[in-house]
Amino acid sequence: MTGRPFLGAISGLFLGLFVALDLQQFGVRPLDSFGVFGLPLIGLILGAAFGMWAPLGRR
Amino acid sequence: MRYRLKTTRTVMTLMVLGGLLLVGAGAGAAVDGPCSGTVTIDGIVYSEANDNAGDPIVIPDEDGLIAFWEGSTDAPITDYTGELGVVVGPATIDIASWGGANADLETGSSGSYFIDDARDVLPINLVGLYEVSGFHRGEGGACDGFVMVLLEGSPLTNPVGAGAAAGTVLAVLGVLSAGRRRP
Repeated sequence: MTGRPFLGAISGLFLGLFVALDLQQFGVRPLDSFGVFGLPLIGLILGAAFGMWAPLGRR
Repeated sequence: MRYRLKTTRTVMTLMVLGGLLLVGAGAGAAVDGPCSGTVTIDGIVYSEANDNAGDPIVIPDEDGLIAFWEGSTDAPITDYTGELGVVVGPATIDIASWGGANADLETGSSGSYFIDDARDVLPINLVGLYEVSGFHRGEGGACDGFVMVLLEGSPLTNPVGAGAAAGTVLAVLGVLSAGRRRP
């Protein structure tokens, strides 16, 4: 574990929520259950995984 | 028909614009039940079929628009109650409720509404796609359903849209920062 998985999880959680809001604001889909829970959960998981993977920066 | 607003004026636009099919005629558009209704906005006729994100009721970002609505039931619905709400996630935020006797045994009504009247009471210019659901029940029938309402306009010119866009950028930066390998 070389990255920041906790930061990734929190950032991913908010990214999912904000993406859901963006989709609603731009008229793509309403703020339904998937937007409120699904996208943030996906963001949390992917963000944590990205933080654990830590592919950016010097090796 | 008596209306009793239950929440702030902020959601009034959704009640008026989005709920025209359900509330306006007292027997508005519903996916399920003996009710039907239409609303005409900017020359386009909408009905209960406008219940998906790809084919919503569109409220253009223009001044002077008038919504003409009409609705009917197959038979008189007496001693009725109804509610209307905006769907947010698994919950529905109630924005209006009504009730009455319908002693005249009416089965339909129609009218018009100046959309600017709703916009004037809003603290911000709401835009985006909203699911508006509701029901109208009583002796003689019950209807329930939902429609999709698209309030046109630039999301980046209102606090919600601008905040969401800014939050998205910050969240992306957070994820990228989390993905940086620590020494």
